[in-house]
Amino acid sequence: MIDLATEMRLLAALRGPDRGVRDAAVAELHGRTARPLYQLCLRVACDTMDADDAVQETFVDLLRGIHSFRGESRLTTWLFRIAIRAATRLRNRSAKWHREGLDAADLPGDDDPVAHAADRENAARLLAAIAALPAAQRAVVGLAAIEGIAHAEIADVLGIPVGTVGSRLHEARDRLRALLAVRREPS
Amino acid sequence: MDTDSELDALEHALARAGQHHALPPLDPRRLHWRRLRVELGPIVWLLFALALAGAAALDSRWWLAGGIALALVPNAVASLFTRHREVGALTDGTDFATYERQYFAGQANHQRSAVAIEAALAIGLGLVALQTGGGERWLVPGLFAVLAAGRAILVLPYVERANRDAGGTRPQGWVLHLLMLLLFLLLPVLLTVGCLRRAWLWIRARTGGRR
Repeated sequence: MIDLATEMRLLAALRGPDRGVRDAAVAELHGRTARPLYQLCLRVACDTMDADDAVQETFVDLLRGIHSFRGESRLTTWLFRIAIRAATRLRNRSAKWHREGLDAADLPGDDDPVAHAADRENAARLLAAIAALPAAQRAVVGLAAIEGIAHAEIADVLGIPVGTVGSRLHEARDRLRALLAVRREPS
Repeated sequence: MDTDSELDALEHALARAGQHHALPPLDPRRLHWRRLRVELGPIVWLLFALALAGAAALDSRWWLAGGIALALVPNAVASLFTRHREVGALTDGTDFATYERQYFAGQANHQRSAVAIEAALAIGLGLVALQTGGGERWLVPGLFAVLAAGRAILVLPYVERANRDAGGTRPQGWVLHLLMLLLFLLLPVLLTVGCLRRAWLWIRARTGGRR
């Protein structure tokens, strides 16, 4: 997604006094991380609109806190932490209004309408099941959905041991299976 | 759900959904609700001023309605436009975040001191009403009490939370606000009232109590 040298370069640019350089760095960082951040926020907030807002808020918070970032972790690790906080905040707010879901427009255009409908239904079913998970498990599921992320990095983001990541992910998958099975059974 | 592969298929569908989602371009200023809440204060104030003037007009107290409209509405309209212009002039997310932080830090202090002032006015005018009697006199302290309670329950928690979210500085403590109120509002008022009372007594003594 983004290597260490690029992170250091972007961090220096973000902290620099030149507005043009800073804006370019923000744009580059957004281009490289917005998609994985969205995948994470979608699973934590469980709503496409909230996930969009959470990604935007992540960058606002990044700009706000960039000077207080101590560099004790990687920039992306810090970004993921901010995203989880923002998505959780939005999720808690939306939960009051029982709003969650997937936008039909998010699914790829498919020539086969039956396959398209099935894909849409599958994604919506999983998202509804994820919404029933506890916040800690949603965060692990969201981070695990990011392509190329290692368990060690997930552990770093969440501040938990690497072994706990595996067990938490395993528990989450067990619970998702159970939730999906219950929802599939006719009432 | 019997197998892992079925769950994997669902995850794949959700990942595809995330992959095909059209991400909005990065523009922190497009967080409409954030802008809206920064611009909300003057709108609420304008509506409140109009409601006050409207209530007075409904009661056919035209002089009061006109007075309220003249005293409050122009300033409320001006602040509405000023705020809108200020927020619109912010060119990037950093500027907006700074503006938001300063705005809510200022609001948190302002709302605390407004609650203290309104509560003090409600108590002070309530004491006056208690001494002078008469049902209608309770209307004014009652109004201030409702304003103080409404602000403390509805506005203050929201503003303080927004201030925390925006990373603004903590507002000054209640003790300091009460001390400021005492020093800069109550004390001057009491001193003025004391001076006027002495002057009145002096005049009465000079005129032999004929007034």
